[in-house]
Amino acid sequence: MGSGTRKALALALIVCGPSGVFANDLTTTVTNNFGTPGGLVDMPTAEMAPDAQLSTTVSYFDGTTKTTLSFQVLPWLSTSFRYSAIKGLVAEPGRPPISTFYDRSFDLKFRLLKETDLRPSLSVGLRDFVGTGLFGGEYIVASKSIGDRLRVTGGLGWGRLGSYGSFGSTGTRKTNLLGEGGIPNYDRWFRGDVAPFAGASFAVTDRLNVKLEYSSDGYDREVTDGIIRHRSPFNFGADYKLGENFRLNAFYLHGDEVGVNLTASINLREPAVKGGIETAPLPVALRAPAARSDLGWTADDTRKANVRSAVEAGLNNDGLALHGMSLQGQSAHVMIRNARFDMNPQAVGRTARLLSRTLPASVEVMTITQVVEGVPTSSVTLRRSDLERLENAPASEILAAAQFNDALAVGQPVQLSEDPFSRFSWSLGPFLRFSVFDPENPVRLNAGVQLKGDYRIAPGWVASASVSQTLLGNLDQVRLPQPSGLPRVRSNVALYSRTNDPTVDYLTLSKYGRLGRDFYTRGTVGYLEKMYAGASAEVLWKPVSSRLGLGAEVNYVRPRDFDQLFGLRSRTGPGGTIPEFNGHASVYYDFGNGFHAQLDGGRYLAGDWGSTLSIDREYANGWKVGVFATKTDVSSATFGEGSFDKGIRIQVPIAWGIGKPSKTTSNTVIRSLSRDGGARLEVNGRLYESIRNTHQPEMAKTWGKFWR
Amino acid sequence: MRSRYLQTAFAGLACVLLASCGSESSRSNEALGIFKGALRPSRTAPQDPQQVAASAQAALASTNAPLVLVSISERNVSSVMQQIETNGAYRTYGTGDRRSITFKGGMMTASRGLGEDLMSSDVDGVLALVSARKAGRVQRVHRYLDGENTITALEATCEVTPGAMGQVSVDTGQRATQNVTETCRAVHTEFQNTYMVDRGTGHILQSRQWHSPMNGYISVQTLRP
Repeated sequence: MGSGTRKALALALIVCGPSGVFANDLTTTVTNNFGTPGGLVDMPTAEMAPDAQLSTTVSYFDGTTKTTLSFQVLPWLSTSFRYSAIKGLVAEPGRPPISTFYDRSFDLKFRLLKETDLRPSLSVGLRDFVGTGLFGGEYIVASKSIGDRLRVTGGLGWGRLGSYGSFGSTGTRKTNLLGEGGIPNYDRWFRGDVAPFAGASFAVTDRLNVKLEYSSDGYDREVTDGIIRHRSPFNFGADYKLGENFRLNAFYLHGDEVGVNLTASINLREPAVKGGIETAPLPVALRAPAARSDLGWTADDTRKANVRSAVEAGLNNDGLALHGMSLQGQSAHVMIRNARFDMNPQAVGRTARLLSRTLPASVEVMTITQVVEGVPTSSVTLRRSDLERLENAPASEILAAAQFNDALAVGQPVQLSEDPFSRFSWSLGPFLRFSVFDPENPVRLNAGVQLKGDYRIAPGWVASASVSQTLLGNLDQVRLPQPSGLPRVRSNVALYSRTNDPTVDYLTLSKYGRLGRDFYTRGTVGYLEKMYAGASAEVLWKPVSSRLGLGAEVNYVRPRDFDQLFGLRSRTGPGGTIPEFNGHASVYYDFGNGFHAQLDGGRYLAGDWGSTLSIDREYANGWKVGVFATKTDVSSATFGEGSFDKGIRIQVPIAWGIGKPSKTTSNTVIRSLSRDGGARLEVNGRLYESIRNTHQPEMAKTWGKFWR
Repeated sequence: MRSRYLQTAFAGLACVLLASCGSESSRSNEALGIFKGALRPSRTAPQDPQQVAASAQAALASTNAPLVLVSISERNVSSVMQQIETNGAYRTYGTGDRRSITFKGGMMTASRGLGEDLMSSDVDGVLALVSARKAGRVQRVHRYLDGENTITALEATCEVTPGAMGQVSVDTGQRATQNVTETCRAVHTEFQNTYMVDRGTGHILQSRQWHSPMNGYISVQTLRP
């Protein structure tokens, strides 16, 4: 990271002014003992976190540690994922003894009514509504602010939240697990004993809140197992804001236990610097009216060559590269590669202004085509006079004047740059691979260094390689699950972590291409990923202005040797034979309201057939928080714990954190243990995500960056 | 002042884990042509009045282009900016390190590279009153990129009031001016811009104009109109 970035960061830190305090709609950045938004201790409130708030809370009291990730998906929808470790629980009859009980849980809270001057806010929620349901409970809760400092809450709870002081019941609460866990316990919700709870929080200062609650949670299991004594239904707490992003919370539970929690939170809509602090673009240059009709230059090859080299140099100054160009009397077509700007309109906008400064005055129509992996993906055509006229107008006006086309429809062939493809790029850095939710050890990881390189041989041809060396870690100790009746396609991942020598993560040759308008293709051969070698072929239909994409992929695979060098191993193992072919058909759809869905259906690595649904909450700045679930024709029992494959994925745009353009993102997937059912091949450079950002629906979201 | 521990930590992490090193990050970010021509010693220097005066003198001596001296008090920086381009009535001034501000009749309409930039604005109504040194009530619109990189508009209602007469010196000598104050109210913000307007041309020669929540006010002094 250069000194420029550090300077930018320092500047960003210095100049962050006060943000406006807006009407808060009963929101809070405080999280409770369960890590969910709310100003009380154990009891829920009707409060929501601010929209797009993402927080991690680590909560501890006497042997119980809860780590919770909470995300405010929409102003009225709060979601939480929790991983708990509880010492001292006694195993249920018939289950093996446990020293520490590890459990995953999911919570949801919906706000039904917003607070008004007289009416409280009303929310309904489900706690730990999937799987074993140790914390399982449901509630209806109302909260009201009285003045600026006091908030009072009252509600009704079921399940765990109805286990103390109940006054009645609504049916019988089931206790059986559905499937092998991992399935919503809808047959329990709002059933059984119901009990009231209440509480109040008071803001002593801007940083300090104190709270008191009457809890309807009897801690029955913990009391039975001798973890806690329930001496009183009253809990007390205080939380203190350590900084904009951190809060410390201390609480006293049931007259017996003292606990603490620490919350780190960010808001995905609050980047380091709004709009970025990258340097200014070139301003638009106006043409002298008389020069517009001068076509004398068209016969002057030296002048044309000079124009081209000026465009090339100007693009390079902005981290862009000239792929090819054609220059005619009244029109120009410029193809660019963008290695810098995560917001594609900025790349196009900077190119357009550069062209206004470099092209001969008679050129009126400018087409800028973005090229991804040697393949033209989208063309934006602008009239130069619009650019001149609208430089100081709202960005929506130049968007209305811009025409998006499939690059193949432009029909102005370009003269490729002399050296457009043979470009070598590389990176060297540390890596971190981890596995979570191993019953014996909640987090295992390997860390080391990774060297990656890409070499572009010819248009659309890329040779890619990655070599890594593990320096420390314990991924090799991930236990091999019991045989499931499926071939071991992923569950033996630990065997791939046992080598202490360098490994080849992938070594591939890929060809990207266009079949015709709206169609994109990819073919990849070689060592595709850590565990598999083979070949992968993909085709994608995605019109440039469409929010819908359709794709298909077929893979031929052979399992690699555990040392991850160049050898292959037999496809046949204890659980069966790994099929040679797998593949999927995929539907991608951008709802245009911040939600994106992907549905894949087909044959998975172990030969099982099924589908994967992924739903992402996407922010135009590049943040994505999503969930996915895969169900195949493997039965819950065969699949094992969790019943089916599911997880959470988060994409972090680095530009958000550093306040400058960067195409780097950090991607994290939190999923259940690696199982054999519903496992997909991992192959780099899948088409949809490669080209999507250059298409109209995605570019329109951040079109304001055109003029930045 | 808002602390940003997490983002610092985050950026630190990004450095260590993600940016690492590689061919893409080693590119230079040289200023191009037009900005190269702009004045060099224009950094984010601390506001020592003598230094500022000296750099203004040096700038006047080194170019014939129109010049302004710009200070952002919230950030304690000041810089001489040189006119690098015009588009109709809009004049864009830049620094050698590629920051720019665009003015119309001396009224700030846009900026680039300052952080929370003013992407565009509608100030024609205000400008008409201010340069005519007349009282009145008008709308002004500022457009910014929000945290998602989408455009958000800040609409303010502004009261323009002419004030005392005065004088301002520019490179060609003394100019007779009148003070004009513009008091604006938006939903979550209030700000007050002050101008010293040339009584002859109606141009704003000196001013203190509100830029954004992050940067606060920017003071602009015309060195050479």
